[in-house]
Amino acid sequence: MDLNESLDLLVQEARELLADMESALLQLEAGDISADCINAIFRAAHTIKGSAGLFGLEPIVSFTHALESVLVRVRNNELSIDAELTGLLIRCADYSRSQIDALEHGADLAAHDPQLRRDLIAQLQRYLKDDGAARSNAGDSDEQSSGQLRTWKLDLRFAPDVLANGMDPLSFLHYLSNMGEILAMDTRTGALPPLSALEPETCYLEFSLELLTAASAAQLRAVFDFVAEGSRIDIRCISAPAELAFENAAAAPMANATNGEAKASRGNNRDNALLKVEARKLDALIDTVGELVIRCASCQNQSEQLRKAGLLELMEEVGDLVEQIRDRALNLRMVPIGEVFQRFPRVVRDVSRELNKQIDLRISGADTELDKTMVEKLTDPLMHIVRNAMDHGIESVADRIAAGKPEQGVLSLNAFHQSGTVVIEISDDGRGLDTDKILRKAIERDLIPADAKLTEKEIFALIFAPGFSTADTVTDLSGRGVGMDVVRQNIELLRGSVDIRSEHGKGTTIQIQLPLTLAIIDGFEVAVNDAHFVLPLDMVVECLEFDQQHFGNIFNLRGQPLPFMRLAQQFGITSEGNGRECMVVLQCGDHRAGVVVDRFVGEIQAVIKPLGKLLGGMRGFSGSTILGDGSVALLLDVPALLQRATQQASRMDGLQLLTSLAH
Amino acid sequence: MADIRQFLMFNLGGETYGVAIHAIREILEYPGVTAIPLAPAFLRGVINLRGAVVPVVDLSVRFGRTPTAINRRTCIVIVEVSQGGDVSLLGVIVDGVTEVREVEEGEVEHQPAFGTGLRNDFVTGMLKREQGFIPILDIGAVLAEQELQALIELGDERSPLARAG
Repeated sequence: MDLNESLDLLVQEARELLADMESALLQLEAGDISADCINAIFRAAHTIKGSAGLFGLEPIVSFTHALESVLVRVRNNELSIDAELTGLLIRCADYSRSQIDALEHGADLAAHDPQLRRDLIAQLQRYLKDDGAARSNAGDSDEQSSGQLRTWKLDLRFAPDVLANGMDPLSFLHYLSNMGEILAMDTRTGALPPLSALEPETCYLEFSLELLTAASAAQLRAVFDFVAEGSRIDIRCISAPAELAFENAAAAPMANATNGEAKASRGNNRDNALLKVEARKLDALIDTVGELVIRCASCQNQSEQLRKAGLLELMEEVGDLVEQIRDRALNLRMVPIGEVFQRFPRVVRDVSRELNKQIDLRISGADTELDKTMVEKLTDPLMHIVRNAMDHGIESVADRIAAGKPEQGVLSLNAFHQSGTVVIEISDDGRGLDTDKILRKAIERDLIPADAKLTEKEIFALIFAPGFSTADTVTDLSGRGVGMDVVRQNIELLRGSVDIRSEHGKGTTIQIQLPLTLAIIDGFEVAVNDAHFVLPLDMVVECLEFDQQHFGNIFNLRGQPLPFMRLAQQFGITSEGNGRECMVVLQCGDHRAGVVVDRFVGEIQAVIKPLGKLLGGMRGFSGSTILGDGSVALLLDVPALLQRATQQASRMDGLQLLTSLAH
Repeated sequence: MADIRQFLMFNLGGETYGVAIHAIREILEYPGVTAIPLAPAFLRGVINLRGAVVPVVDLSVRFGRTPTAINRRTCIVIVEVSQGGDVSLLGVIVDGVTEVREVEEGEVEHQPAFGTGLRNDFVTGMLKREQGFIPILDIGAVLAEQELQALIELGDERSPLARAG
């Protein structure tokens, strides 16, 4: 396998393990000191160490080794968990993560924040003080069973100056091979500097070997008596029955981790066999399946014309199967939203400490699935909303007591499916939105006229206006340069919507509604002359024949004025001009407008193709799709169109007013 | 040019041009092209290339001439353009392709300072022929994504839709 690819896998695996470790650590911190929890933390550290070892990533190995050693003691009940230790472990997990980030960016791991690494290792080592004693005890117990053949694992890290002191590591290896049979040996070259920096008299190499011998632990240790100083010689028996139970976890991480994980992660579907696939391959599959659907539709059309007995039925069956394939292919991209949610326990912990508030985070519906690309793009907006809720929503302990609320505020994250969409709710039981304050700020900032009469919903919507903030002081939490307007923008880019419910003094719920996938939409195809365009069906309110009941660019829709525009005019294309026109009434947010076209073609399921880098900058189109005949149709960017129509209409109104005044 | 190289020869507006073959993905018979409203003239539209939506550039307009008239022999040459490590596909309209020529070292002269009627950076060299020279195009420069993108956005600035938004 390509080395880079395997490194990517390592990074990905380590991230997942660190996420597991973190959630277990947070459980510990919350007082849930269960064996499952401790095992999960240990397993994560151990597996990371093991994988990093395969790549000779010494800085990661040595760091996680120190971490693991402490965890072993915790697991063996030699150390008890307290807040201080948990805090240290969390900091270690953070450092591990930063190491993995550095690894991903190809940075020099040895140079990665060495001061912090030394500090953390020093702190870890305080928990290991009598480690040596414990180990030699284990060695002593081995003594009795000396004389029988056993397999030993030796990790040899000679002191860098071992050569300068006249010792040759090679001779130790020779000597060992005389004591028994070397079953396996691995030379680690991770510490080897580039040639220019290489000191010929320094030993950079480390050896890890398995030795089958009848010698006892003491005898093996004695071999290294002369180099003990400055060297790290780790000798473990990996075949003795007495030690098997303990060492098993260390020596066979794969098997053990799988079993343990299945137990540890009841309720989420990790225990299903997983297969890692590159997103690119999946996209290629979905592209091809999209083509298949289109071709299949053409085949069905043709077979209808042929009227050959049996063919039509057959084509219908094929069509059904193809649709199933498409649904399943799209489903491959679906991942549980828990991937995003799992970041929040940590964020809430840190932020609530920082703000000195007590906040209980409740997560539900973490297994709700949605498109992978959306999950990635949701993280930032959700983070912003959650931080906002903690910062502005939930009150300080004193305020809560004064308001007669429990000291601990509740922040809940909830996700569920609702009629073909995914709904994500972020609720808090904090002070709620203050409509008066929002109005005051909006008027101050000239967002609305001073005498505006707004409904509660409209007032809430003001917090999405660019540059809006009700906070009297900008804290570094929510004043990070992104406002709710960016949140809304991001959600709208995902073709979703944001809704706010709030009761003053009781709390706020922000509801995000998203389509299940970005790859496919229900569309409505319209045509101007021979140019075909697709509109998202969910924005189409109604379709009607366009008669001449209009005044300027305002259509009289059952007595209601409706601004409209002609697509042909808008796009500078000639319409059929046979006197018959149709109008689609579109709704997007609070805007409603009509778009006049030559004819309606009908509803289609549109597989969305991005326009690519070159055309991405074109305004008015949000993508493209391939029609049944294989030609490309452009997807209209309805918000941009409606904005245009509304502005044109208001301009026209002004003009008409002027002309009528002139007469 | 050190060794033997292959060039695709094509006609455009009554003249012949060459382009190094390694950038060429395939050559298509002129299919239906979906025009993009409000796009600048050099951008003829998009086509469906086996499921991928590929923009099509009118080379003649890009060279500052009149738009290519479509006829029986009109082709679209699909070109791979790489920009910053990303490879994207672009279609180029030509009046017809004639041949793939193997060209030896020494047959290609350096471009003259002027006189090709093309922007200097569009031409990498001139291929000697019995009568006159054939310009060899630097297709990467002709279709430089950043420049095209900027042109599209510039054209878009002037569109009514952009003004309103």
